[in-house]
Amino acid sequence: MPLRAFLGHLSFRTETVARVRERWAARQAIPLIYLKWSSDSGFASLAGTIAETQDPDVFVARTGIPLELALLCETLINAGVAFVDDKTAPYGFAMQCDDAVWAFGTEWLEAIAAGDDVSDVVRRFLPRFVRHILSDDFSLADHVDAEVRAAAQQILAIWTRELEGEVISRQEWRAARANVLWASEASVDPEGFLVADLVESLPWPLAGIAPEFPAICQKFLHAYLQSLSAAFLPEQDQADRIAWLVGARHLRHLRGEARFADASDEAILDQVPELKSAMLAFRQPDAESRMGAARHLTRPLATRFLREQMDSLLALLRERPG
Amino acid sequence: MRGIIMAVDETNFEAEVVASPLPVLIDFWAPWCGPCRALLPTIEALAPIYAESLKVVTINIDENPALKDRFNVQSIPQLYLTQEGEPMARLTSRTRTQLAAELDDILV
Repeated sequence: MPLRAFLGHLSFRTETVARVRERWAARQAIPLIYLKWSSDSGFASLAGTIAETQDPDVFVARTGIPLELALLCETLINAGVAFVDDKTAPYGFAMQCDDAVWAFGTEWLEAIAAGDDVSDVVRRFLPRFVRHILSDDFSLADHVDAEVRAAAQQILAIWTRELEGEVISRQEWRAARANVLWASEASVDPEGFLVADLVESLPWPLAGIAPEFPAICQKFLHAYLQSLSAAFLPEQDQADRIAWLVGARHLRHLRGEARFADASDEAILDQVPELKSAMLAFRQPDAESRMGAARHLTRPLATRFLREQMDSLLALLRERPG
Repeated sequence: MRGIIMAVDETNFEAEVVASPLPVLIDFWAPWCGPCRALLPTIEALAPIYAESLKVVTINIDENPALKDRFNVQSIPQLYLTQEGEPMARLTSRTRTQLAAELDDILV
């Protein structure tokens, strides 16, 4: 459905951008991964601050901006922010983040002119994002199994035809899903699991997957930024992390087994001690603390990756139709 | 899309779940649960795809402890496929692709 950003009113755009810019500069809006608003002085997300609501339908009606676009922008920022306990801060935590990441909080909003129809921006961003992940420049390129890569290329090819206006049959999508599930299941390199998981989430029509993409992207970013940090961990922690990645896949399989039909994860782990120890070793407080330190060292790499995605979105937003 | 998913509680469980002619997919969640929020768009996307063969509802476990106990929900998010209020299967997948494959296997 076509949308008109800021409902087509220049004055409304000016007022909205100024109000958000002020709250964002004062760090009174928090980059979350969901829509959150409070009319008193409580917690508000960036998207919640823009529309002053936490109702998804009201957000779109008030702004003329698709919620998935706002949430995707917010998710990219969220991934670059370290939330650190700080009893002196208004909400009990401080947000540490590179300026290049924080700046995006208003850059994307300022890139939208009053009356722009930005309803397809996330749809057009998705293939760009996946191509970036499949490129040789991507740091995990050597860890992406050939089957996963081929399944992703198949999805990209279908999306390309879709963007050209072709109607894709349900059978073709179903075949793509079967292929991607098989490829993901067959993937063997633990460092590549996060790409397999990402690709597994994607074989759906663009219009259908776009609203879900911020959540998919958040999961991927969390795993990817952790993998960047892994290089800065001591050898034992790196080995524990690999065992944890393999264990998480194993746990996923066990959840589906009939013998564990009603069991919680804790109950499953209690019955499979070797899996439990693999899952817990990387989650010990001292290991988590070393991971936190490694994440700090990785911040320039994380910022570069996030900024590339932000710039890709900005380029799409600045492309004016016609 | 959001309108397809109904929030069910202890007062309307009988009418909306037990008496439903269609199987019901229940998403047990809570507002404080990050993974639940992350799963919600997936559930919202699945609902229209299975609109003819499945009803999708959410249950907030904080507000409905009796339903939490009835399904022995130990952790959230938790997805149960039910028929006449009785569990047919617990769905363990968390991506739309996997969940669709699981549902297709069960609903054939």
